[in-house]
Amino acid sequence: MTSSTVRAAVMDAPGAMRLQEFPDPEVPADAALLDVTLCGICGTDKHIYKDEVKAHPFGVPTKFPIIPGHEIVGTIGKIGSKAAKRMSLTGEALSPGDRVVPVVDLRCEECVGCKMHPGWPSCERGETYGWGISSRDPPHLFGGFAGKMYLLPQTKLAKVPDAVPDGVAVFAEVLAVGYTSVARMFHSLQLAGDGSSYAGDVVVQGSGPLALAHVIAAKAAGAHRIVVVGMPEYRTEYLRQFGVDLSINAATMTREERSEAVMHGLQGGGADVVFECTGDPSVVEEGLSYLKPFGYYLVAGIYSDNGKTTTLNVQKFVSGRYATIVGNGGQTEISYAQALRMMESMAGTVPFDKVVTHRFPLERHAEAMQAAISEQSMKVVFEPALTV
Amino acid sequence: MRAVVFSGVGKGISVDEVGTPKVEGDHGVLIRVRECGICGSDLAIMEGRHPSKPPVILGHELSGEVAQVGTAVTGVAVGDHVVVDPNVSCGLCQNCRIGRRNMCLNMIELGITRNGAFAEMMVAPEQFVYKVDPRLSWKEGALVEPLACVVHGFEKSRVKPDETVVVYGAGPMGLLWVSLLKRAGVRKIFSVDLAEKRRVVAGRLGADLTIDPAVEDPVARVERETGGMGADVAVEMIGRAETVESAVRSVGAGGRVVIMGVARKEARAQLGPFDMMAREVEVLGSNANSTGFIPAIRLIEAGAIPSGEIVSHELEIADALKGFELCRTGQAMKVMIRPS
Repeated sequence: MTSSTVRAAVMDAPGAMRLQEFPDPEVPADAALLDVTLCGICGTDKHIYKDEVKAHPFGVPTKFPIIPGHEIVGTIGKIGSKAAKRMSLTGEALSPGDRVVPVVDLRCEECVGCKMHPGWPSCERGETYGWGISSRDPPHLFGGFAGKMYLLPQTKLAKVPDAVPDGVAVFAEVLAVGYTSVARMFHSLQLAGDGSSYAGDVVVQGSGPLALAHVIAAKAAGAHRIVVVGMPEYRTEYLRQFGVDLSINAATMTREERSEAVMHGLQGGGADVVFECTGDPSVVEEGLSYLKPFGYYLVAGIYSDNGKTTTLNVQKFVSGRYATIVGNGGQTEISYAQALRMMESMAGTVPFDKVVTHRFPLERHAEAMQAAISEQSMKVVFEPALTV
Repeated sequence: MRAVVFSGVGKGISVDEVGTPKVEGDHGVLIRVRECGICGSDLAIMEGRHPSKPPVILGHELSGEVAQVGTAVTGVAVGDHVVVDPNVSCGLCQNCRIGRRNMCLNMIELGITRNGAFAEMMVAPEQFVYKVDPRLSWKEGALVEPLACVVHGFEKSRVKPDETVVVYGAGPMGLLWVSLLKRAGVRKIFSVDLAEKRRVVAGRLGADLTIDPAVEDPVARVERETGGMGADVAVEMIGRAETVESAVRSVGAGGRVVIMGVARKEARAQLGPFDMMAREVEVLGSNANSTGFIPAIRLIEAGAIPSGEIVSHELEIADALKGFELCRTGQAMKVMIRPS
């Protein structure tokens, strides 16, 4: 890479990735340029790659060609004078050299979605780094699988605390989803409306990075017992390092056996909250069956519409048990700062350095995508500065 | 059996020999009391700040084991380790029927208006007796009732994980709040108390900052520590008009103030209606508990409450008066009486 170009992994269509050089952009007063240190491969990136996405939240399509990647940590390379005053999530002035995590969903602050839901990824324009802004349009660099990323004026940045290394901070965008889910469930985790559940018992369906984020956030909120039902073995085994009470490989059991194992893990009582972190709608009924009466089921993993639906006995698992189903598509803006704060405050109890298991240079994009898709990994990241 | 009997305001309490109670009705449970905490309310009763029906055996924060059960009792059996919700609500009045059983219009308060647990044996209706894990210590069991009240206030506060909370008072109740907030992982906990000993314990239990109100204005300190934003939640556990005023002034935009301290009935606090309007401050009373027992039992069973830090004395019933004096003079944290 010369100083005048920026290298990026571009996806022209599902499964079609290649390297491309883009011009190093000028930075006006209201924008910034980020030197990408690390960028994680998200389930959404995998689904786009495998042509499993019909639409993202609010029906927004993938804007091919794209530079994928929205789990980013980087260092501010250039920042305009206005942006330096406006981009920080928590209000402090920013300058080149600051390590930051960008909020991936952009808000116009003008549409009804933005006005009604401050701080949420609720913008009707659906501009999201990594898939919601095409790399066809200058200045092109709207995703994290790249040496540099262009930060549009409405971008918000969470500053990374000094004590949090890049290899941990790259997980902030994911942990922020877990944090947002748990914040929505906080008093349910703590205390259901009937007061029957304090220090709540939790089941997490799924055992990938999103599941891990929910495990960590639930722990931070004082959850009592946490049971993970996931697959494959590599991941359910891997999550045992993060203080879950039980982690079972769903692939090796029937639904009845899983149910028995979960109830045993929760000492017979059922869960106060179940977090869906699989991306697979077919798990919903089983997840609801783990709940105590008046429990809460939060769907976090089914982010993109893959066209799949599910069959659900509504009386048996919802109305007949007074269950509440909550959807969570992403994370609030402030949750990025909270996630980074958790990484600092929980460093002694959570092995955050074990979240990232694989690092790849951009050149090895096919191998990297395969490592993520194989699920013989936890978080796979690109490190643009790595040489082949 | 020996019991701590309150004879009336001005007459005080004494350890007397009294008759052993018998199981009352088909649903009655006779309990051998193992431990019972002295509550701030007990002192309020003695001073006439809280109504009671003397002569009465005090004590409402108990753990014990079932000694005998009425013929229709199915929920507990002889030998079970139990705790008792002392607020025996009727279940029939309007408040009970809409879920405010802590404000039952026909409330019987065991240990306040009917004989309680500073005695070898007590009776309670089955519905208010809760089985606990026999591995719990009696001391931990006796903390369930005060914790249930804190759970009730915690729910009212609607505190969220990214919020900052200031707790006025670091007596046993304030410390239970700090423990619970720590367990829940809230952003920051400030503890305010005049007594250094108590502030030190609050720090050990998880307060990020302790404030001595004799040295500095807690409102100004909270404002400074939050970058001028104020706390999200303030909890008043002292029962004084001045601390209620400080609590209200400690919260910022959208702040909630939970009043749990037992003030004198005639106390009046000065509030700034403009600031409360402008900041949308909510002031919430929290009285005993309505559905706090099961959550509190679960928390205690989960080891969420460091009882060793909160309980400072465990005394035999013969020393009960000394225990009351330790509480009245602020020398003790939670004092437990062992009647059996």
